[in-house]
Amino acid sequence: MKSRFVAATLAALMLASAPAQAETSARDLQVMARAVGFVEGLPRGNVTVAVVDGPGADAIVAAMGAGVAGGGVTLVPRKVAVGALAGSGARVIIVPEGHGGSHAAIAGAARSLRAITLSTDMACVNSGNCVVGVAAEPRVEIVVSRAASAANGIAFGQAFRVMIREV
Amino acid sequence: MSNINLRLAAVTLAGVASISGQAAADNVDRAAFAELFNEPVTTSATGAPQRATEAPVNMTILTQDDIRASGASDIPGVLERLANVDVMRSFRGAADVSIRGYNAQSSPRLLVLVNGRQVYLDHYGMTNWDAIPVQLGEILQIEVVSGPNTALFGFNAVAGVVNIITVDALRDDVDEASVSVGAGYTAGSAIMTTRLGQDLGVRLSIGGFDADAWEGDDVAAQTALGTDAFDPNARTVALNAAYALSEKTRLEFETTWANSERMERYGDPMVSDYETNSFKVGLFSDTSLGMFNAQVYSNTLDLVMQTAFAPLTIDNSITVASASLIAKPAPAHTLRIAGEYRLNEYDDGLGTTSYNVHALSGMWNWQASPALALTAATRYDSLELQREGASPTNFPLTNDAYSTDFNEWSLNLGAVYKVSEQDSLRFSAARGIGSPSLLEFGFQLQVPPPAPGMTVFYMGNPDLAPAVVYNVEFGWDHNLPSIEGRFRAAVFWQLNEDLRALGVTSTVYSAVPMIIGSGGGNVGESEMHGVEFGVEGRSGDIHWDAQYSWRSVEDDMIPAAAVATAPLAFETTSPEHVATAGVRWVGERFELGADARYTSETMQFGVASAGFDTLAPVDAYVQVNAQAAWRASETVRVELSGRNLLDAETQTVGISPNERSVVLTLRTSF
Repeated sequence: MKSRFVAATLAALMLASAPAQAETSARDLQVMARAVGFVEGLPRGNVTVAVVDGPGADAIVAAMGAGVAGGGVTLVPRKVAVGALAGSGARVIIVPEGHGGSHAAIAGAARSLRAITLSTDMACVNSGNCVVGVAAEPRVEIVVSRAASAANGIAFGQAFRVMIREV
Repeated sequence: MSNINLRLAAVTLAGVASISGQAAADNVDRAAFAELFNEPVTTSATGAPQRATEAPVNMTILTQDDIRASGASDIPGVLERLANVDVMRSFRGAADVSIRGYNAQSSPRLLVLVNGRQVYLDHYGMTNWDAIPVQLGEILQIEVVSGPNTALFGFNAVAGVVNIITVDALRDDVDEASVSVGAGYTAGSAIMTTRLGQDLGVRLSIGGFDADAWEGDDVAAQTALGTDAFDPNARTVALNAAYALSEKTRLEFETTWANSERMERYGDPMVSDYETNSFKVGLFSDTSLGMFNAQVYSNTLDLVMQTAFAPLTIDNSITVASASLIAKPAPAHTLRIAGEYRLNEYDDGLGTTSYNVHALSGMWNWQASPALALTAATRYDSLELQREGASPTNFPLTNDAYSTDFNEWSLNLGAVYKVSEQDSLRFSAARGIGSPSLLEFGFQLQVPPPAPGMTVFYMGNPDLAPAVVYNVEFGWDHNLPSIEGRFRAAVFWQLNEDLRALGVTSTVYSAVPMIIGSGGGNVGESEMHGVEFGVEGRSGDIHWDAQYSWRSVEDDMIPAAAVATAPLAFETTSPEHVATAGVRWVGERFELGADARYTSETMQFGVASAGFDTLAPVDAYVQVNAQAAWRASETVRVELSGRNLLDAETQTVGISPNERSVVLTLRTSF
């Protein structure tokens, strides 16, 4: 029990002293928009995207400006608190980095909305809470959680599935 | 070119895309995926869609931007920018293309496809590039695979694959016309895509050229035919329609026609008139099981060859039916299963020689870890040969002699390991099969005898064995982000067994009356090893690249002198060193580019001073090309392209010295 306490304390200290979470870049957002274009059944054109409010949200909303276009859709950002996600009606949710403690709650809301969740935080995808993980640099990498996409009713074209990494 | 700058290529491809990026009904919207991944995607490596950097084969993708920047007026001219591609222009308008040496007249070692339909000609396994019904302006990308890939594509993918992908009738919007004029050269093309309602798209392309023969063509024609050279020309038409039955399923129909007249040689020079037709129906569907593709197509060829002693007529038709399913049943595993049937017939006016092939193939791609992907593909081909109808009088073989068959398997293994963010290693091993062509199996032609009382036939050999090629390759790709480029290296070994040649055997079938047959045969094997390097980069508006290819070929074949017609001598005809370099500046309104290609000394058949089937030395040479383009407006572009600029004539390979050319092109979109 003592060793666990020490480890937890050390981890907390490390987190406290760690640099700020890497921001989701404009290129990441561009890749996200293009990836959303491969989701079957989503409307095209302007799509309101809920950016989970909290760390990193302001930067993402600022980077998206009036909207990020790609793949036949334009993602128009709106900040939404975790607790308000379920009632937001959003079909696309961006999860900024630094929301590790809220991943389960976000996933629950996304399931009820049958929404696609996207993040540059691969831990969210690997844990099955986010549907799509994106890294634009140094090379475009897209990771899809089979469990999360099935739970949220999100389907991609077969060619897309073949070319991305599934977990 | 895309291997010069994958990101640039992706941007270029994306520029062709329509606004729709949703999952396409044919499952592989290359432009949309190129935009997503920032690099081209391909299906030519395993049949499944892949990012170019993840393909487990040595592949280069030439984009529409590369094609335009090349200044070339034909596909071989575009391919010539690659150091590991060899182009043999025996006459004006007659190009033979090979990958990593082993080029020969009417080279039968390359699989050439347009949107999945074979456009190489099955009577001899060769490609008449002028008769390919596609215009340069409608090509989205050319996927060039170096090395055998018969486990995916079947016969003919022995030296490699050239898969030409056009813009899509339903997704893309390309409307342009061009006119080109040069000394002794005129050409034109028109491409139109249109949407008829929401679900139907049509692509129509037409094009052609007329050219004056080279002076060397005249020398060869006078020697072999006693006439002036024939001025080459070609006309092509392609009509493609795609109909979206649903969001996930589409039906495609295509018909094409082409006519090409030119001088060429199967041994001695001749004048040939090719007319080809094709019909294709394809069904593509994204199902819950995976990507399902099925297609049926028919190619026909009517070929008339004016030889020194007689006109020769060849009617060849091929019907292919195939289906495949690509599925990803588990996160790390992608599978492809496919079946194919083909009926290939050659009518010589008296009888019909034909074979049918049944094939089954499978592919398994395993993403063993985020860094390591393994691929295994295999294909089993069963070929049955037969002949019906009559033969020339006194022909020594009966139809029963043609009732033969063979069964062969192909294999492609590949591994791609990402060592770091900037480095990946690639290993591949392959066993490929090259079937004898219908002419090699069943040719029957009575030729003038050397003495009265004799009957002599040029004939095929139904007992020919298929060529088997083994290839092992190790490659290294290293990204160079500081110059937005990359370095590529490959080392490879290849063994070609049971190579074939015409006119190998001379058999006396009857003493009285004297009946002699000169037939084709398996002539032995040839081994090659080599190294390739390529580096590419970008600095501002300047793009550059340099490539080097070294191959060492060692033949173990019967001597060329023992082969009466179209002998082979790859050890001396394959250049040992080939190097290319190019630079291109792209400004707001202007573009300038130049490239050079060095080819080391070789021995070649057909040098005028030596005779058509005698080896003679060809010195090392450098070809320099230059291009300039001016975008006069959003819709008008003027291009000036010069080729072989260093010398008025360059003896490259084959018969005629290649002449310098300068072509002015006016291109307008609408």
